[in-house]
Amino acid sequence: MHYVLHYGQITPYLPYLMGGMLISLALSILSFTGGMVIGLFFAMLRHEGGIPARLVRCYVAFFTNTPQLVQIYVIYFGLPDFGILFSPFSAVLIGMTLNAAGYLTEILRGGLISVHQPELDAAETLNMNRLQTLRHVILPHLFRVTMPALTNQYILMTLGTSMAAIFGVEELTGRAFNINSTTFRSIEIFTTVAGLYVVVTFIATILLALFGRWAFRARVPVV
Amino acid sequence: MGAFTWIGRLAGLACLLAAPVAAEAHSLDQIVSAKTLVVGINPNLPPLGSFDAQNKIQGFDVDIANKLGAMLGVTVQFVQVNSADRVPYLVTGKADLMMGALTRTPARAQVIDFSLPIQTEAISALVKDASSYKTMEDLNSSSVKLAEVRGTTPLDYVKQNLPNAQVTLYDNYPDAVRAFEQGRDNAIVDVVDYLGAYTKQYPAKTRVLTDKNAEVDYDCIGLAFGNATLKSWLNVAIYEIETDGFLNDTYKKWFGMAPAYPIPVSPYF
Repeated sequence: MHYVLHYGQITPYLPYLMGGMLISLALSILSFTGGMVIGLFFAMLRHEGGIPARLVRCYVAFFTNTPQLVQIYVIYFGLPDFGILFSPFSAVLIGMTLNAAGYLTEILRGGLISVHQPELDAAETLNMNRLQTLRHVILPHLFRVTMPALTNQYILMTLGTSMAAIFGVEELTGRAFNINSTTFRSIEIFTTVAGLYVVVTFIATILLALFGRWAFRARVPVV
Repeated sequence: MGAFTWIGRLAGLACLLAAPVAAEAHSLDQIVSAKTLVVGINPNLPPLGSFDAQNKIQGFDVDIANKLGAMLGVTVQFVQVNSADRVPYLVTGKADLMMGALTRTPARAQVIDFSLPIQTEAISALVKDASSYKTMEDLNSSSVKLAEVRGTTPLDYVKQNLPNAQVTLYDNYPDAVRAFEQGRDNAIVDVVDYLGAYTKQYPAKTRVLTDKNAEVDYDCIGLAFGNATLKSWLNVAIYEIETDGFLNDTYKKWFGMAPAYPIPVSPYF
């Protein structure tokens, strides 16, 4: 093979790629946050039992057993036939949030189960109401235990934003496709993009670990 | 002179006889007396040519070739070609006529002959019939969203002629057409004739906006260089099917729309 690498042809596009990275980050942060809110609520419903718990189980079963790509396709190309039209960014964001909620429900439920009964008994003895128990006993324990799994989930979601390119969202991978279709410097472009993903996920891992240590005294190694 | 010389000569003669004779292009007389017209078709270029459920070649090119065969009173024999084969097949006499969106160019005209054009290819815009866009220039506005396919040549046209429009890039034509049909985007700028196969699956009526300054490519039927008798007959036959509506009807049947840039027909050629 006589292929000469020309990274110089890619450098003019670096600001364009960084702009795409920001869109990828916006997607991952927003969908993770949304997924956490829904996931926490669903995990509690699931923990309480009864009919709501069964509905949550159905939701989790559906969203964790179908590909995210298919879910977004339904939202992006399926719903408009019923008159619901989301912009490319919103459609991908909604799809990713619903998908994340499915996985995060299970992660957080695992955390809820691990809360020790004596701790809950102690809260009751101290005459804490349910909200106070949640705020001071359950949540700190929950996040401390689930921090590594949550970090993993966040990294997976950051990498998963690349499928937004299919739906016309010009995030990092989408912009890489665009540059590739004009310069045909595939090796240079995609290795550069892979490097950018590594940098971003690496920084995210460190930040989340530090945050976990600081906020929940979670025992997670920083690097 | 020994026996070996004779053996050598016989062997040489045998080689000559067995050698592939450089095929000559068939004249009109030869085609009529052989009752076969050999036509090159690209089976991987729908709607011009593709395989049907029975694995038979079908398409616009097939219908036109069969019509020409019927007019000449001969049976049509198809040879499958890919785009790069088209000119070499004519030069080596492997086909009498060549189809497959063969664009006439000065470079090709040095080695093969072209019939009258049967099809045009140029960039136009597909919009919904109900929309208010009247001309291509109307699309050059920041309120217009174009559905385009990543890595295709119409993107250069959009960059030059419609710089104000917003462009959404999709991975493939079915996705771009779907986005347009569902109302995500206002128009598709491309050689939109080839999108008919996708748009006909949606209920909305569409219109085509053309650009009066567009670079129009004329696709013709190719034939061997200097095959004057066949070419004369072919041009008369093409004029016939262009004026009696057969060409246009066949185009509509396969492309799902009338040609965006119709060929002006003249009786003088």
